[in-house]
Amino acid sequence: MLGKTFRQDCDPPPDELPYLFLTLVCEAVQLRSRIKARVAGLLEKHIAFVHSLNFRPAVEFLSPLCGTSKSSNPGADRSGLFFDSRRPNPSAKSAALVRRKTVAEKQTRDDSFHESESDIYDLYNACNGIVREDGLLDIRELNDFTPEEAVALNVARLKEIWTHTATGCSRCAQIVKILNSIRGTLKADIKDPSNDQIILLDENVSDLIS
Amino acid sequence: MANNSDNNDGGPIIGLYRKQIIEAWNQRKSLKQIAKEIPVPIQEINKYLKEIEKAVIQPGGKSHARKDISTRL
Repeated sequence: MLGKTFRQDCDPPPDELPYLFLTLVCEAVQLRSRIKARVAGLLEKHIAFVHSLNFRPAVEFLSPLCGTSKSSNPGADRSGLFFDSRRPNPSAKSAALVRRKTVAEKQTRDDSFHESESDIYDLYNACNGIVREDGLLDIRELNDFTPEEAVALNVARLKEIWTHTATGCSRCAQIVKILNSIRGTLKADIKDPSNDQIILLDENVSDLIS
Repeated sequence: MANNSDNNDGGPIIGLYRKQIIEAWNQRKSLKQIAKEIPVPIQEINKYLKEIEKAVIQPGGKSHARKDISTRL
């Protein structure tokens, strides 16, 4: 600051007017610099906060300050400070929410097939493990049962499960693949049938199960 | 299909045919064919096969199988 100050409520002497004008200009310039620095600091904090909300690159917001904007926004190509008026996109948030909801619903639907009384194991047995060229169990096998057998095996439900496998369920596909791999390699120990140890796997087969 | 099974929980009657059922399954016989050969309701045979298949595939099946092999073979 210049050493001399002037009171605004009294007129300065005419011979000091140029000096007064120069002083005011200097003060205005200094004030502008301080304001600019302060605003830039606040803006930077705001940008970091917004960035933490929606993961947009911070440099995208800082570019107007750095003078390196390549934006098509006319204001970005001028010097000076520009505030980012963009807020976290509510439509993007709702899209993510819908996506999460859809995934959760699909998971629930899949669980209804994987954890129901009739499941892929029943379908595998009913179809005798016959796999078509497209990798799905041969649903035509379900038509070979008598009406009584169809009721006993709940063929209607098995058809629903087949439709589920046709959606590309990797879990069901993996089960079918493993069962077809181990079939023919099981041995039974009838001494203790209720125990898990009724099953003995050949060593080369056990590696297939993962 | 035979109807002489008086139980619904894989009890004594199906117990007589466990080995036979597994052997038939190993030979890739269909469920319908197994039901013709064994006097047990088709749903009971299916239920038993399902138990075995799940025991093999479900988590722990692999480690259990390896332990079984190392201790019993």
